[in-house]
Amino acid sequence: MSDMGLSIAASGLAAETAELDTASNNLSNIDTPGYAAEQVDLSPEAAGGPYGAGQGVIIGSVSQLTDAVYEAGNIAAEGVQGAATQTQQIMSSVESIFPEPSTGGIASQLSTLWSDLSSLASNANQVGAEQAVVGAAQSVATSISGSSTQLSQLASSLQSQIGSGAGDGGTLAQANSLLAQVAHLNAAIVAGSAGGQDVNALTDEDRSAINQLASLLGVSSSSASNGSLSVYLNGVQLVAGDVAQTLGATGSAATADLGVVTSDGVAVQAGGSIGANLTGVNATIPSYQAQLNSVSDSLATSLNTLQANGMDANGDPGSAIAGGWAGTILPNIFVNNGSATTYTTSPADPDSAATIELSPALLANPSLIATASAPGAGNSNVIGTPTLDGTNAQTMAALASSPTGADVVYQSMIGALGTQAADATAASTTASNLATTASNNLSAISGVDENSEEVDVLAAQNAFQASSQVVSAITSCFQSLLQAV
Amino acid sequence: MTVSSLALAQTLTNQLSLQESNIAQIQQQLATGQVLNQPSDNPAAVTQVLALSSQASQLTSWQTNADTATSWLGTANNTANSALESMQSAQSLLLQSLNQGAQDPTTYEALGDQLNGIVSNLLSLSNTQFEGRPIFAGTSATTQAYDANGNYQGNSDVPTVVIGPGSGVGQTVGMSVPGTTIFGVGASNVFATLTTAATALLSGTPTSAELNTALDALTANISTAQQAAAVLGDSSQEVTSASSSLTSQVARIQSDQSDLEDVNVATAMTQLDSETTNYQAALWAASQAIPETLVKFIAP
Repeated sequence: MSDMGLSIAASGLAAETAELDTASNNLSNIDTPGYAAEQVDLSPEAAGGPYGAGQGVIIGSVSQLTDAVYEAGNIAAEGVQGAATQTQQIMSSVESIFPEPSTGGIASQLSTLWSDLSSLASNANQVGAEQAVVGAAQSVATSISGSSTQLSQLASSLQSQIGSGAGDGGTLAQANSLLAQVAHLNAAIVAGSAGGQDVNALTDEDRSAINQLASLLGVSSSSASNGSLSVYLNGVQLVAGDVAQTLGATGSAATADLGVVTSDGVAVQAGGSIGANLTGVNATIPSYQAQLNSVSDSLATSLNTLQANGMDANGDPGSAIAGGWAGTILPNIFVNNGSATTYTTSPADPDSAATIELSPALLANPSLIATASAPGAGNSNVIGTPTLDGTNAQTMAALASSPTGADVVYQSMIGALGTQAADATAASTTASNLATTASNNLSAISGVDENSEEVDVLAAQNAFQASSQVVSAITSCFQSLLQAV
Repeated sequence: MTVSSLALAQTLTNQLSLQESNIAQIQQQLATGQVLNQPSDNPAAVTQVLALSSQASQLTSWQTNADTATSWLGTANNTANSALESMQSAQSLLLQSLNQGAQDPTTYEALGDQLNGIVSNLLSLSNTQFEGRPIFAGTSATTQAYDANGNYQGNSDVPTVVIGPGSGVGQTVGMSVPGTTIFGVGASNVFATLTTAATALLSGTPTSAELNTALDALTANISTAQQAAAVLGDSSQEVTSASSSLTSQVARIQSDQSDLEDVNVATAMTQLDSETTNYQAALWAASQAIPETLVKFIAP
């Protein structure tokens, strides 16, 4: 007891300074994402002095308030939310390609086509009625092929959003730079803690990077005893210590086999927003392309068949009943662009909807529509003889209520699209609520609460003042003693 | 449980944005007047609305067809009745010449001229057109149903339109009848009958056998024309009843459609009101909760 308790008071002053520093740091980082609140670990000096009085306080370290379970839950929820939000955006983009119900949609264009055919049936040789049918058919074909092209464009924009993984600003490149950052921080954490430095700030950065990775890829993480964090994606380790894998894209939107591989060549099942894009490109959009192909195929096949088996008002026969007819033979109504004379259905032509167009020959000469039925029982039609028979046009118009017609196929496609989009919206809301809950749970442990920090500051301030008072008292004792000598 | 300042702020932000999106949705409904603005708004209702619109469009087509048929049948009925009247006046001319016994040739010739006049009147009736198309030529593309000599140029097919649902293309109705069903077929048609009679009369010395033959033939022609007029009358009735049923069906479908897709303004306004109140309450709560911390009460 050589200094009359000055060293004990000094340890108190140091401890309260550490408390003030920590509270100040916590308050500064109150809005920092990924920041875990810190606390000073204090313990009384064990060795007792004379008469058993304590020897002051020991500042152990400044530790972070975290909980491994809540951390993992938060990262998982981030991944689910990343995927759900992106899926919802994809579905709403798909939905915007099919604006139904509206007067400009494919459904109402089909209806216009059928009613124009119905008018043509009773005005078989009227130029206006023929042109109306050709115009309506062209609008339907343009809308179908336009929608199909828009779907393809959406798929390729989703692919470019992911990018190749190299520095192209895509989300995969973003993920790679985060993975590299985690590996780099791991190295710094291991080196720092070996050198006895405070690595809390590095751990915060590491955690923030992993949270972003979770949202992008749906990763999970675990921490090693040396403080470094490992990153896993569905069982594949992406970051081990200071070594990070680089992710790259394989396949393409055009072939619906877009995927992600590590630099070791291992294919990984991505989650998060990248996973949602992969699902959109590989499954969702191709499924709507296929349904649109069915709409297109049903329309083109049914009308082309009737066209091939009928005659126009001039008596020109369709291809199926032409026989050896030397004159004009009616062209198909719908063709695939590029081939100009025939229409190939999917799957033989996987782009049947994208390429459907009105036959150029019919566009040039709208009178070549098979309004009349083929010669046969119940009519007096003769190939080569003009006729005002409109019964074939009536049959075409009756496709409006065909149970397998383009209208029904299109309606069920819109129903499926609406359901999927509504589900995606609901899933996104749920995921966002879950993420908020997970983040609130975590923040109850490791978040910074302004009020409790204020209380800590006041307490530290009071304690500091008290210790200062002790120093002042001891000093005054020393002076009295010195004057007495 | 500790609620960190960051969590408090995030929770408030999430709630506010949820309420904003609810308000935006109701505003969109009120602005467009439609509850269904995209398929996901109500997938089942959207599918139903599409099916109803498609039905409504088909019903409207049938209605248009029924209107066309009404116009055609109106013209065909009037013409058939005029033709019948002409045939009946020819019949009374022939009866007159038979009953009055032998007359001097000039009287017969005058009657013959009158008959020829009736023939040309009937010919012009038989070539009646509707919108540029001879209505009694069947489905033929000819410009005339009968040539100047009374020879039929058309075919025997009845032009039809679809005016309602049914098997095949639907319920079809004839818009007219082929000329032969009114005016008779080939050498026994009314033109041949009357021309023969007129020739006999114009000779000045028709035999009563000649006149009797002509009268019998004309009576047969009249009965044929009466049957055709009855067919046209039946078609007219069929069209009228189909047309009124179509009108009520279209009205019903439009009301179904409107129930599904149109905004109930009163409901939407009430919802908007309640959402706005909630939103204001949340904003007020945020304004009260966020600034309150211990700092405010610590004297500097």
